[in-house]
Formats: sequence, C-alpha cells, structure tokens
Amino acid sequence: MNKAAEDQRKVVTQMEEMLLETFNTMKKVCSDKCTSYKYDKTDLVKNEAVCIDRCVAKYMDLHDSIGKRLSRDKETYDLLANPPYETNPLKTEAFKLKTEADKLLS
Amino acid sequence: MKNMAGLQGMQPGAQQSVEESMRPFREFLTQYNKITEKCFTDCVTDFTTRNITNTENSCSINCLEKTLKTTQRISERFQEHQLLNVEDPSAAMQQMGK
Repeated sequence: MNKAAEDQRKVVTQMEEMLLETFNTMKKVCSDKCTSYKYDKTDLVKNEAVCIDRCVAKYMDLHDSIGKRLSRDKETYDLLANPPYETNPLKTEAFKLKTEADKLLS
Repeated sequence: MKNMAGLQGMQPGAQQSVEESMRPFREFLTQYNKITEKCFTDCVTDFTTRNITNTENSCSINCLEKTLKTTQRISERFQEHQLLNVEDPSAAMQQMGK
C-alpha cells in the first residue's frame, strides 16, 4: 500500500471511531431526554418512542451543522486539534536549555 | 533481527510520526463530539417536532461560539501558566503583556 492510501485508511479509521462515539453519545443523550425514570413498564410508552425518533433526527441534524461550522476555518480546527502546550519533548525550552548546558559542560 | 531488514528504512521516529500525525485529527473529532453533546443537551428541549426550532437553533449557535471562545481563552491562560512556571519566565511576561 502506498503512503497516500495508507494515510487515507488511517483517516477513515479515525472517522469510524468518531462515528461510534457519536452514536454512543447520542444514545445516552436521547435516553436521558426521552425515557422516564419511573420504570413501571418494560415497553416504551408511545410518546417515549416518538420522542426518541425526533431526538435522533435532531441530534444528527445538529451534529451536521456543528461539523460544518467547525471545519469552516483552519483556526477553529487548530484550536480544537492541538493542546496549548508543546507535545514534542524534543522541542521544549527545558530540553533546549539542557542541551546547551550539556554542550558547555562537555 | 534478520527479519527486521524490511524495516531498515523506517526509524522509530518515523513510525511514531505517522501515528502522532493522526493524534490532532483524533483530538479534533473527540472535541467535535463533546461540543455536539453539550450544546444538544443544553439547547434542545422541544420534542414535539423532529425539526430543530428557531430558538434551539440560535441557542446552539451561541453555545458553539461561546464554547470555542471559552476554549480559546482557557488555552491562552494555560499557555501563560506553563511558560511562567515551567519553561521560560521571560517569554511568559511577554505573553501576558498582550
């Protein structure tokens, strides 16, 4: 597999994982919003079922429009993708200072 | 070690960077889901219709923008804190002047 195909496969994997996360989150949110906490029956009452249908529709709708907004500009992507600190240990100030110190001492 | 001959071209650093390069993207997707969850939970309350209402829509837009601004501000303060206490006090003082 060439690199481009390999990278694309990785992206697809990430998106699949995200889709699973979306599904699980939506399950939790819609159960909380739509089903009663009284548990006096096993079946869903009619309005619970209708609520769930609508909840799923709305959730996916909102998910899509948020996705559009978030991917609109690079700034937003960068804000969410990168933590506000240096993650590569070789690039930190501390490491640079240490390297300098080592040079002086050797 | 003989069967590692095929891996000669790939140093440990190279292998790591392929996985590492996916991490920001993964983080973006995680945050995307979290924002959706938060704004949906806080804003969408009307289940008499399957369409998002105008109230819910403007609430969600505000929620999204506010969350992004909050994240931005928190990141800035965090970065200042890191510089001040961990890395480079002079750079932190410069940053805080902004």
